[in-house]
Amino acid sequence: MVTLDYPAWLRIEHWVNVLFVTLLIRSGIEILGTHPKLYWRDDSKPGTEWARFTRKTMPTDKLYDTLDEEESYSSFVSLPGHKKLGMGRHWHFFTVIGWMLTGIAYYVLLFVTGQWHRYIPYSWSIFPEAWNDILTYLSFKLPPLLPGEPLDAIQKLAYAAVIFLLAPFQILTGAAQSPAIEAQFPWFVQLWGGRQSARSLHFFGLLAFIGFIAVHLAMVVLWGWPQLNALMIFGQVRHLGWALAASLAIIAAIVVVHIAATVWSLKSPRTVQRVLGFVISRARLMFLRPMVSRQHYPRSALSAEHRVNGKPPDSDEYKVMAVHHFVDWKLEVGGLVEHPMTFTLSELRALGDKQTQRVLHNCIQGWSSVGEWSGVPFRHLIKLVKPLPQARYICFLTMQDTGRDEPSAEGTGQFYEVLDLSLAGHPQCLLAYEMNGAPLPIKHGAPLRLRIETQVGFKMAKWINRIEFVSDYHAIGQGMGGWREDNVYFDKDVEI
Amino acid sequence: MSTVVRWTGVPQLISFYRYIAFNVPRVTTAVGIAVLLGIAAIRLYWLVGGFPVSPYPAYLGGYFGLLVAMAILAAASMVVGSAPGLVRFGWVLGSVVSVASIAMYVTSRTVGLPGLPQLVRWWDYPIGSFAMVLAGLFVALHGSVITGMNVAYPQRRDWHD
Amino acid sequence: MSATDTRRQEIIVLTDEHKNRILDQIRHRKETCPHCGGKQFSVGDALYLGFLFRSEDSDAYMVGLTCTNPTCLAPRTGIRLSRSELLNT
Repeated sequence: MVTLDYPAWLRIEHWVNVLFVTLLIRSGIEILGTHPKLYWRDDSKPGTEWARFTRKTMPTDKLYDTLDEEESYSSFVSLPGHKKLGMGRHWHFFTVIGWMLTGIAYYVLLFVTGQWHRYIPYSWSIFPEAWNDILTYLSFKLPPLLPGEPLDAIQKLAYAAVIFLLAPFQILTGAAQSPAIEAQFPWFVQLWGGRQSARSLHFFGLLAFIGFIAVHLAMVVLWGWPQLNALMIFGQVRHLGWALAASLAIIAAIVVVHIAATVWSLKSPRTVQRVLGFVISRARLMFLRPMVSRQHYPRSALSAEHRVNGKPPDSDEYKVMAVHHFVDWKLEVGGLVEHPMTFTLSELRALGDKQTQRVLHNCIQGWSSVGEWSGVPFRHLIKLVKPLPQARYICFLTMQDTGRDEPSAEGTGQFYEVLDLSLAGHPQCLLAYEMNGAPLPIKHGAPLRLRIETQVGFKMAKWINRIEFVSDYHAIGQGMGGWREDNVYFDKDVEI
Repeated sequence: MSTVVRWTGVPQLISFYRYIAFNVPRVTTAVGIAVLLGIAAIRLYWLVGGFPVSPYPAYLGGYFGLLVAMAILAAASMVVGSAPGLVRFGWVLGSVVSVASIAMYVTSRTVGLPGLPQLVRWWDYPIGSFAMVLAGLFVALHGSVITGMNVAYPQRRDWHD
Repeated sequence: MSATDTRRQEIIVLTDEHKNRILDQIRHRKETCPHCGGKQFSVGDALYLGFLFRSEDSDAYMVGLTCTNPTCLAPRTGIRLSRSELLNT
């Protein structure tokens, strides 16, 4: 039988996990603050949330959007704080990659070395033993350790639950919030009760981790901080003074990393975007890019009130076009194509081949709604205009001027988004001019918006008036592949 | 002075608390009722022979009976949705029951109760500790309703947006 | 304009009586076509601006006008009216 002691890899993993889990908690709270409301149903219908973490109220006499609902949290609780979703997401996904790799290594080492018995019980008797331990703790006494093991029964069960249940639960409920995974595997998101249910469950997981940390620290204090510290530093109860000093130094280093990550994100967000985004995008493209949307939600699932993000162009030109049913609107399609073309709305409709899809919309902020979109499949447009061989990206230019139209967004300039040409051939990549069987509403992008269902919502540009096929996007805007990428440091490719 | 108060972190904690709000009135009431019934069940258990000291003074039996009755009355009042005043009374009564049970338990372990010197300093009694946890939980839950973090049945949030 | 266009949810279809009153408003205000300077218009539909657009007052409406000058290259324009001007003109 393997001695259940404290090998070096276990001790190292412990402290690495302290760093990763705390980074995940803080960055997770940043993400939560972007839409600080939790729901059970996928509609995210305003007023139906079961929890709120905001003191803002929204107007009833003016269109508000979900950017107005964003909260700014202190850097103490969120990474980096101050309404920086782009940064929060980068840290969250970068840390998740590290945490998952650490976890896989941990699982392998546990089973290869036989140390898995420190968490997986030898017999069912552990349950009555754990119950006795609870009664002993309630008597303000310490229960006995299990014979030959470093833990008592209730501790063993708790660690097993965290390592083998809670951690995978957080990863799976996180994955169930990826538009690409939801689009390719709608059954997976339904398994968790839907997108919003997965988000609420993910929040419960956050509370469970915080609760576990509080109880864990209390246990360490109750059982003897110096001795347990020494076990987690040296693997044996010796050199208690040095162990305490080492653990304090490690904790200080972790705090320094947190502060550094916060300061770096607030002072040099572009660098954080490039450095962390480089790693995250590689993982995204490897694992999530192959996914394709195959969603067919029933009519009964359509949200009565599809949430809105972004305000319509506040210009006389747009309003005059709208009151005349967009008869004067034109879509110019050009750039690196053989046949540049211009379409009116009637001409787009007359292309035929109208495709309808009922899909789950995922905003980067965390809310969702189910809508029905109809329009021209983008692959049809590609056949007409015939992109040149050097065309690799599609730039969607819109009529929205963010400085004028969207005070809740940080930045100014024309809203645009860049899409990889490879995504344009997806079966559910659509130029939508209808929503829920009626002309696309003004607040949802009239007269034309993009749908690309494996991506997060901000990629699906609204109020489009020009589409350009380009070979490189670095000379457009600030060169990051879209307005939100330029100004709030999102990634260009957002399958999650 | 206000700077010193800020250093304690109390204003920040209060501000943090005020950011949190739940709209689960039925769950809130259900948890409150479950806790109250738990408090009642423990006293009933002690009343019918589970008390560690036997026989115990008659006044203690009277106190247990009263506590059980009050806890059940409080729980029952909390579900009468058509009478919000009665619901509020139920919550207040529940808190009174909880505070009284904590006070009696602490008194029995410190100053001592007449005829029960064996209980003094007898803290390592799991059921007793658990009863205190339940009582504390109810007071905290009621506090969360009063301070606006939670709403209790039949109230609902007016989150129209 | 296809059948679906007339179902645009934001559009308010005006009655002939409203349209005649708006024409009176236009004449009273001496409105001219911004492109050709013409003074004759046909009145289309209305769009409530107050809710959807940040800069608009809560009772602002846009009414679609089409310049009747056959040589005008950009005949479609609009006029902004308040609710009282639109409904009680």
